[in-house]
Amino acid sequence: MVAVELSHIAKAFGAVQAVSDVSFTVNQGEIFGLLGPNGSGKTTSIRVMLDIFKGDAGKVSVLGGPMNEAKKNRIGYMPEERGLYQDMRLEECLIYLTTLKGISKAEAQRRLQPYLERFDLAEHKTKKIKELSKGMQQKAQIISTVLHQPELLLVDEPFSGLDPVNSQLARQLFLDLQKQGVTILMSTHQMHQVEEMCHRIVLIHRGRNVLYGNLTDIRREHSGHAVRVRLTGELPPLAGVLNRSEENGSWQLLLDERTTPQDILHQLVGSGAAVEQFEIALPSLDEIFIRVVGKE
Amino acid sequence: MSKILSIMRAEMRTTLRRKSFVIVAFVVPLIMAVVALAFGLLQGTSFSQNLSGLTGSSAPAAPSAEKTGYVDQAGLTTSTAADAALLRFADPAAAQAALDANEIAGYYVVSATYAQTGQVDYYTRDFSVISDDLDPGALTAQLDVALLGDDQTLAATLQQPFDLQVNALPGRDAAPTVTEKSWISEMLPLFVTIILYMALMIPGSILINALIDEKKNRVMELLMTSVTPRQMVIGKMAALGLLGLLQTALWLGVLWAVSRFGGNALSIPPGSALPLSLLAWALVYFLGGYAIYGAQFAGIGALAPDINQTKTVTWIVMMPILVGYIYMTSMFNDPNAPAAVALSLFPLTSPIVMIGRIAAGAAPLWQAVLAAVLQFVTAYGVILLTARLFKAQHLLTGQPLSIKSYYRVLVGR
Repeated sequence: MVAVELSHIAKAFGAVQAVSDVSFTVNQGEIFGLLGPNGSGKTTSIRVMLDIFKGDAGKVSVLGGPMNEAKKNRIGYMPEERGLYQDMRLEECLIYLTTLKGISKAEAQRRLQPYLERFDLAEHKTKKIKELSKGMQQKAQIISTVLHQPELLLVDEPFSGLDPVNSQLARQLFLDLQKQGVTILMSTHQMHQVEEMCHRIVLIHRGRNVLYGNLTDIRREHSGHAVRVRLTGELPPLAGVLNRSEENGSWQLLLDERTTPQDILHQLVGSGAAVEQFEIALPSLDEIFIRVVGKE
Repeated sequence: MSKILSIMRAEMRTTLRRKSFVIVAFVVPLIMAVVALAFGLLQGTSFSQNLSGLTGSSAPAAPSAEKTGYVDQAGLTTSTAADAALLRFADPAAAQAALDANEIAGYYVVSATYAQTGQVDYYTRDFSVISDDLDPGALTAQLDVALLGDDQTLAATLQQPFDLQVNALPGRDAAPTVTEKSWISEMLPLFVTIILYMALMIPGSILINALIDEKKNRVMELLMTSVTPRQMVIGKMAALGLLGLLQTALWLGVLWAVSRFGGNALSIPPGSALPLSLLAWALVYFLGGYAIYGAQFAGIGALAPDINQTKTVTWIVMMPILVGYIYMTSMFNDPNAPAAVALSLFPLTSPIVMIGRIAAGAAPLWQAVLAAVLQFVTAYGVILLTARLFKAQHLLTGQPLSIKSYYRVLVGR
């Protein structure tokens, strides 16, 4: 089941072409990564997806069809340009924003308390938003995004401003929601979070898709034909290796085009080396991001 | 609908927490009412004394604490008829001597030909054009009684020739029924004009602030994924309109209470209470005016990135109502002048000019109804036009606001 489908969308503001050609699908119940450098068109794509802006071209399907007013209540959105009513009290603000999603005040009140406790905000609920720290405001923002129990969650930099402990809290919340069947589209520059949470990603650059698909496949495609080896003792001489480098006790071997990782493993076993670890060397998402965006 | 109600409730809560609004809308009128009534109570005794002097069967009250002399060369009055504050002298020389001795403030000389010429001369040392000491009422009363053959009842009737009562004819909403001219009936057009002007401007400026606050707090995009721009603006406008209506009703209520219960204490004659029809018209014109100006103010709030950039555009937008306000506060003594009639029908000025004319008893019913109809038709058009401003592109982007950009967006370019 597809929760979101964008097909060749484009959007310009005057002479500025914010999005030229972006396409991707988000499957129901997955955590999907929407990546791209600043100004690449991520936010505009999300706004077109949510019908905040009308696209100039392309087709958008959200929760089984075109976006409409009724679907707004089924979506939770944490925009990049976010904020809360600074002069409102925390509890009042969160309840108000939830009632705008079609939830009654009483029901919003009932749902709020467990979240306040989970995010350690219960004792601050009567404080004005402006009296809360940046991290607390960020946690409040996350609560306001999920309190109406959306089916689809769009979160833009959800970990920004959070310390490692609170980042872990937020990450766990998203994983729990995913287990409950919620679809999550996450846009972030924190690549390690994407590597830990997302199964599929799209990387947008200059308003176009530059990478799209399963994260493991993408890393494999960008592996650069190399293996990582850890063994006891010295690394024996190996045929077909163009370059070798050691880092933290393991060797990264760059192979020539005719040599396969199996050839290297055979040579190692044949030489009697005690192999502790042998794996295809996959680049980190950070490396891929820099390589792709830099090349572009 | 429930989302609009949520927005309304939140907006009303936020506005009622603004100290400035609470002070202007509720505290000031209450303080004014209390001060007016307290002032009236303090002044009550002296007013009562003056009123009894004016309406009693005896001669009019003395013009001042000091006595005044008179010489009756026509021989009309008798010494027994003299008022306590009037001293009769046999001739001008005796009166002059009393004046020199500071026994009197001055003296009248009633000419021997008074019955034919009405000539009376007054002599004093300290004459001032701005002094109100010179009040010949008591002497006039003496002379009238004398000329009418000592018939004091007839003389009293002569002093107050008729008891004017103005009554609205069936089917016409004319002036309020009053027994006589009073300060409150004369100042009424001015008061209601000021009240309507404030009632229109205060919620309008709060509306601009509310929208800009949402941009400043960066909740606009969040709101746009929960409600439509139309729901957002309707909710805010309705909330502030209700508060404005409440404010108008309260201010007019205070005015009504003062006119109804002020009575002698505030020198308000009986029967001067404001008619409820005036209050009803004020509320109708508030709604029409608020729809016209509130929609424009909301549009300004939607476009402007910050409050400083709204000032010039707001000034231009509110220019017509300002013209109406200045006209009514300076020219309200001629409510049937052609300019007054024109401004009271022109929808951008009519909300306050027409209510001023109605308060002055100058507007026939058909004009009052026509003004209201024109206002609501105009409001519909203005709302349709300003709806163009409530688009994501304007609400989310912070482009500088100018008169040119405002009207360019308004006309759809």
